Amino acid sequence: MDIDAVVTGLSLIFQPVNVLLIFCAVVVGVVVGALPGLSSSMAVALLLPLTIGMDKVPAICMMAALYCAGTFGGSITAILINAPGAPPAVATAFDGYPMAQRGEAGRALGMAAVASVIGGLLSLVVFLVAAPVLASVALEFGPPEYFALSVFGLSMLATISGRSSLRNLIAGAFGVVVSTVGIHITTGIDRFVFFDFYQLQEGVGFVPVLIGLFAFGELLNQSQTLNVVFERVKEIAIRLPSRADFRKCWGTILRSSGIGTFIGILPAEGATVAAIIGYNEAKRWSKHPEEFGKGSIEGIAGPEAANNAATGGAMVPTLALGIPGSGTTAIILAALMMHGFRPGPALIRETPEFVYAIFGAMLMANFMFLFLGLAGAKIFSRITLIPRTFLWPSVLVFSVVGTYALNQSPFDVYVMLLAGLFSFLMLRHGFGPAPFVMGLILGRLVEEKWSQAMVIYDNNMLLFLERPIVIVFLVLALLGLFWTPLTALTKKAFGGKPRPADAD
Amino acid sequence: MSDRHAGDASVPGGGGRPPSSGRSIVNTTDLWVAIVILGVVGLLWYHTTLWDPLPAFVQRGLPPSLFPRIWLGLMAAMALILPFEQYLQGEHGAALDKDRTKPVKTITYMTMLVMVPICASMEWLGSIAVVFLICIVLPLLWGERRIRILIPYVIIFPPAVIFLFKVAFKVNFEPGVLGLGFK
Repeated sequence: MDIDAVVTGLSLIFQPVNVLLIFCAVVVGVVVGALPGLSSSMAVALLLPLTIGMDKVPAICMMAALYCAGTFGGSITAILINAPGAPPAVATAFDGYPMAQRGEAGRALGMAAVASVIGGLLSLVVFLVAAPVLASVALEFGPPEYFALSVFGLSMLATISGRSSLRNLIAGAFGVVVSTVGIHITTGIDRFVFFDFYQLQEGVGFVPVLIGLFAFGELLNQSQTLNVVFERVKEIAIRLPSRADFRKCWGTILRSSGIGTFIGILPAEGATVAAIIGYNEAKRWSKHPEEFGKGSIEGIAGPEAANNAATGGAMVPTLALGIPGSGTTAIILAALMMHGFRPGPALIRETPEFVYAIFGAMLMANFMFLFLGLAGAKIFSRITLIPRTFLWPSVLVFSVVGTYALNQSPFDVYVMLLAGLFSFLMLRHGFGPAPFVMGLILGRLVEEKWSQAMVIYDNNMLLFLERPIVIVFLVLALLGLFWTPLTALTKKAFGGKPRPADAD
Repeated sequence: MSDRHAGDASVPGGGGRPPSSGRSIVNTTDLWVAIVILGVVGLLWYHTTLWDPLPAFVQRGLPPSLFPRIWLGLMAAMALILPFEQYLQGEHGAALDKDRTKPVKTITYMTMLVMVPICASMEWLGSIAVVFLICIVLPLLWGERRIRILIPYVIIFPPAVIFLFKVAFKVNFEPGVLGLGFK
């Protein structure tokens, strides 16, 4: 580890202005995470245009901090009003809300905050160690290895959270097709430039699409739930978890942190999958599995440690390989490219201090949301009192102005609106926006590396198979593609029952 | 073929009836979705045939249409399985209909019909007018009638956002008709 780079990176972050910016990002992250419907993906997408004029380092660090805080923020409303503010907090609500109803909201919130922080910190240690190692391995990769790696990343869409692997793959494939819009790099031929819109020659912009998918699409979705009233726990006694609680949960927290970090490192798999697996494993290993679903404190520690550990894990492939570890890191990856970075091994080799700055920002964010989560739970639980009739118009204003601000082009606003309508339709029929985004981002990489490899190998793809790493990634890709049907068949054959959390 | 999704408003002719619990091999809604996907794939494939021919000096390497066509082909192949997916998933298949059993609410269509034209008219109306319109029209459209909150919201929020982007990020907003009028 380059100590100079670590010190430089941390000193970049510990400047007062940057600490303040990260604190603001954490507050926004917790608020957004706590608000049902608003996700950290949306917040990071909306933050993107706001960072245009900013220095690169705080801009990306703010997004990383927001990502951590947003993942935690969802647990507040999951516990207090049984409405997970963000998808990764779905499993937290299973036991959090019953605890809150019993008058143990403070204990539940305290455990959520502490488990999240421990999960986050442990994954950051892995991030600190694994990212440079992975990057140094990836330095040996040529175009065929990168091609195989990105195909593996795309294949993982089959196992990403959601109800249908098939739909994830279709959405991902469409994302890849959309990524081909614009001038073909090697031949200069216009592809899918409809109606002579010259703006399409540069390709479809990431930011308008991301804002459309995550903000405008969600606004349309929310318009269907305007009458939903959340049942609120009135008394929030901030009684922190006891030593006995920690003794009971430390094994769960450590196990879930490991699970979350591992899941996060896998391309495309995010915090939601980690949380669900963390919950299931907590239940499986618990001495009192019968308490799960009725207010078990282990049922909070498991998913919370796992989902926050996934954030640190997801940053590893994002920064070291340029392959997004989750939907939100796909947006961070787009932000890195927008700010002129080259995500992948080159990033760690050329600007290691930047990677350590991100590490520092995420570390700081973890401690900040621990404080905010414990001290501000009462305030954050009131966030849901903000009328949706004002909240969502504000989101739309930021979406429109933010999209326009990027290139000061109304065309981007049209793209954002189209992406929003598309997202609404997609969601309704079970196609998630995250796989589409992954396809959009990985598509360019797949084509670029494939083209390069084909030139090197004189258009003979079979020669790729002479490289062992390519074979490993392609085998993993096949496993990724067929994992879900294979496990379903195995379960059927052995008469296994579905996991409780799979119900959703 | 089953009519279990006749109630789905996303399906032409749907009338709001929830799907029955009986299982059939083909899911009608997914059949429509697959047809739409195949239509889009067909259209995009056709578009790839209209691209300029490749100049001779760049004919080494992959032709520009190959990569998109591969993915379009994969999409088409997967779309063909889509109508049978619910059946293939067995008891888990019911979850696929979770978000679409209820018809899309009128307010959602209204939101699309009103907000999309407002936002899309930024070039003509001007960015500032669009921001104000969103803040006035959307709350009212969604049933907000508390004028005592709405007025301060409209007075404070849009100027604050415009100020933030104009001053802090040096964004030049579209003047639109109103802006030109002021000039």
